Amino acid sequence: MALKPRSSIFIRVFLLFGFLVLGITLFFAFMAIPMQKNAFNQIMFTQADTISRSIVQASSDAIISKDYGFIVEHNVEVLKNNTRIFYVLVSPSTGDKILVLQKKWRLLDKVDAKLQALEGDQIHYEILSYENFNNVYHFVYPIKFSGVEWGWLHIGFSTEQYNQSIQHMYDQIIYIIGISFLIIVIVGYFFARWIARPVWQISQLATKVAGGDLSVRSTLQRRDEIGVLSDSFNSMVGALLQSKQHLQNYNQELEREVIIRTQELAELNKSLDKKIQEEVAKSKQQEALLIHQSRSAAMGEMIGAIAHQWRQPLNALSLVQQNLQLRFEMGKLDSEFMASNMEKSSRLIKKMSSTIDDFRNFFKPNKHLELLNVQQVIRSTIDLLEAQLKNHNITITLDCPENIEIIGFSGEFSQVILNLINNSKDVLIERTTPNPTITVSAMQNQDKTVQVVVKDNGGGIPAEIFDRIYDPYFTTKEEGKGTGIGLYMSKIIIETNMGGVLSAANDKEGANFTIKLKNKPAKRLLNRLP
Amino acid sequence: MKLPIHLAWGVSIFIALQWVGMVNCPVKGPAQTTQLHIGLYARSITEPAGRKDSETTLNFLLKELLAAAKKQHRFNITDIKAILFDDIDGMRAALLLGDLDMIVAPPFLISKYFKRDELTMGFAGVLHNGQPDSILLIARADKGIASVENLSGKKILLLEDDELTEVFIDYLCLKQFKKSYKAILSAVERQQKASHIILDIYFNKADAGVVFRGAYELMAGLNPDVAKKVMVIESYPSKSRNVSFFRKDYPYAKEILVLAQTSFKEDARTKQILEIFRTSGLYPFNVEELGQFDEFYVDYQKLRHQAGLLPLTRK
Ligand SMILES: Nc1ncnc2c1ncn2[C@@H]1O[C@H](COP(=O)(O)OP(=O)(O)OP(=O)(O)O)[C@@H](O)[C@H]1O
Ligand SMILES: [Mg+2]
Repeated sequence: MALKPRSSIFIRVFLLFGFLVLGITLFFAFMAIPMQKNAFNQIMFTQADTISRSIVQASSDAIISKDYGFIVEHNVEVLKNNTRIFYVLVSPSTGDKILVLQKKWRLLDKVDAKLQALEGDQIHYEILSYENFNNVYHFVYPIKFSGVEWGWLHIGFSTEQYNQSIQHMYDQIIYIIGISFLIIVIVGYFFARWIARPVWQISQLATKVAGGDLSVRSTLQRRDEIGVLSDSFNSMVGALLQSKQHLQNYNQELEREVIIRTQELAELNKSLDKKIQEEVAKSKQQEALLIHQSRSAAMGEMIGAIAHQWRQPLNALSLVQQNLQLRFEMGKLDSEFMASNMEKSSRLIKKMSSTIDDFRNFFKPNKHLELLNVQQVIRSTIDLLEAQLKNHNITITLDCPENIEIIGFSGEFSQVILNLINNSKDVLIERTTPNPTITVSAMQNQDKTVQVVVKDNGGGIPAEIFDRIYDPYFTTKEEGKGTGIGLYMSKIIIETNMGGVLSAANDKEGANFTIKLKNKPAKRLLNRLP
Repeated sequence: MKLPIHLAWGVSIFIALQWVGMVNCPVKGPAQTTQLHIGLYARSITEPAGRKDSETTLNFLLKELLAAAKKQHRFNITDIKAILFDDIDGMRAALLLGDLDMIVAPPFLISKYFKRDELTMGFAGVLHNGQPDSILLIARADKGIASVENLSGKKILLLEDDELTEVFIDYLCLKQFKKSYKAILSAVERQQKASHIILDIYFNKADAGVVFRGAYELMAGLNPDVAKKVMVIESYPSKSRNVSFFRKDYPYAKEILVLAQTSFKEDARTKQILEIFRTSGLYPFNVEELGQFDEFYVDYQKLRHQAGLLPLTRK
């Protein structure tokens, strides 16, 4: 059997059983010893008593008639037939005493003092030594006839048989203990094995189960608690196996799901990427479109402005022409007049030509970042609009120190200024504000940031639209007059392209648009450099 | 084993028969049924034990030995029996009729009642020291009895129903006093056992007695003081208290006798029985040896005649 030493249940059950049975055996064995000794004593006594009585009875006539021959003969015979009797001493109160031994007898004058001391009214016995006999069960029997004490009968019994019986008893006890020890070892072993083995087996199986082997099953077939344990163990392992399989299935399903999801996600990512690219492309297109639109709008404005700029020189040219024709018809066309008019008309043409140059410059796409003089950029922008503003009696003032410089594209920055002035102009015209005034002021703060404020007295931005003015295509103007991208573009140029802030506020007169710029190029701006 | 001394006779002879069976059978071939009926004179045989006890014990022992013998040897005596007789004439009649194959009785009685040609040789047991089991006249030393002449007026003890001992004391008295012992002694008492006679003398209950040497030596052996106080005064050399003879023509008589002197002695069981009997062995006893008793009886008759007494006749 493969019971390992660490199988402590086995050892415990074995020892418990062993000590219990051994203890009970020893208890009963040692209980039996005094009882048995007592019984042996009783037997000795009864035997001695019986023999004494029979001797006295058989010898009674001889005793009375003092037939000592008979007494001797009888006792010799008694001893011959009873080798366990060492001696018989017939001790009359008076006269000789007869001591009969095995194959021997003799007369004694008197009884040993030792034995005489035992002669009394009652039966007495003692273990003593007498006549070379040791360990004699010496029995003293008083002989009485009709109440008269005649003497005593001493009988010495061998204690050999008694000792043998005791020895035999001890032998038997040792034998019984030996047998029970053997039984304990054998039965105890099997009993303990019967108890411990299934537990051990199940624990072995449980260890296997703990190690992950769910294929094990207990094969124990018993109709007791261990059988129940075995069944429960099996059903437990079965349930474990089932749940493990469930788990495995679940895991596999999950893995599949994850793979599918990952694929989906990858696809989604791909499509999202594409979408983003598309969207980016779209928004870039839109931005480009917006820029284009805004540029077109600005161009439209410029054309209006050019028209206003050209009107006065054109009229003057027309006057020159009429004067020339008139003088020619009058015949007063002289060379002086001619020269002065020619000079006058070439001045006018020159002026018109410079106007076109100015516009061309304005619309010329900026290729290079440049250090812009704020005053000059704002001045030239105002110059473009001056004729229009004068036409509507709008007063525009510029309050700007000469030395403020920023880094950027002049076209873009002037477009912003143009948009802001145009918005104020539109509001002032639309609301027919009395003494319409636009004030452009610029200043450099102590932290080197540049601040440009375009202010009008048009009444300000209505509160209900305040949050939406930067939205693209948001406009309050009637169709054909406003596209709603002016402020949107301006915000992109200032904040995204130039790294500044464009903010709007109302004061009691009108709207205030403030541009704050750091006096250094924004990243985006630098990126666009070749 | 409780075995009366004289039963040993029959038993010993019986054992001898085992050897006969053992020796004869291979020669004589398959078993042949034969009998051995032993007649024993009750009074001398049963002295130590009772009659009934003796008979029962004797038969029991014979059967036990027969069974044992059958196992050991191819023993062909199947009918073995011990029969006690109270009167010697009845025993003689049975022998003559062939009902008995062997008799065991005191030699004096055999000499007196059997004819010599009715018997063939048998056994006698002697005491262990080789002495014959003589008849002894014993007396207490302190009573001043040194010889037969001091017997006058004394109290004597005799064995009950033992003819030879009575003839012996009578013979001695007739020789000394020319008078029958009854006239010389003050009192004559009978005892059943020789040992008791010795003890009674020892304990001063009588002055003298007639016993057999075997009994005297037994008592002296038990208590040496007995030999000191009870002295032997006269003796008659009777070889054995009891002797045995085969019926004439008993087929195994010779073989039994031969074996008794050879391998018979080695048998453990026989030795054991003989030891109880205080006998060293069984010796062959011739019919002629009975002559001693014939002569003694004749002398006795002469003494009676001289004393003026009538001769004794056969009963
Ligand atoms: N200075 C101002 N005072 C009051 N309202 C203003 C002012 N500037 C702009 N707004 C309001 O903000 C709106 C949006 O201005 P935005 O410049 O973006 O578009 P628009 O001027 O309407 O059209 P356009 O594209 O031609 O500029 C205007 O329609 C107007 O209602
Ligand atoms: Mg606008």
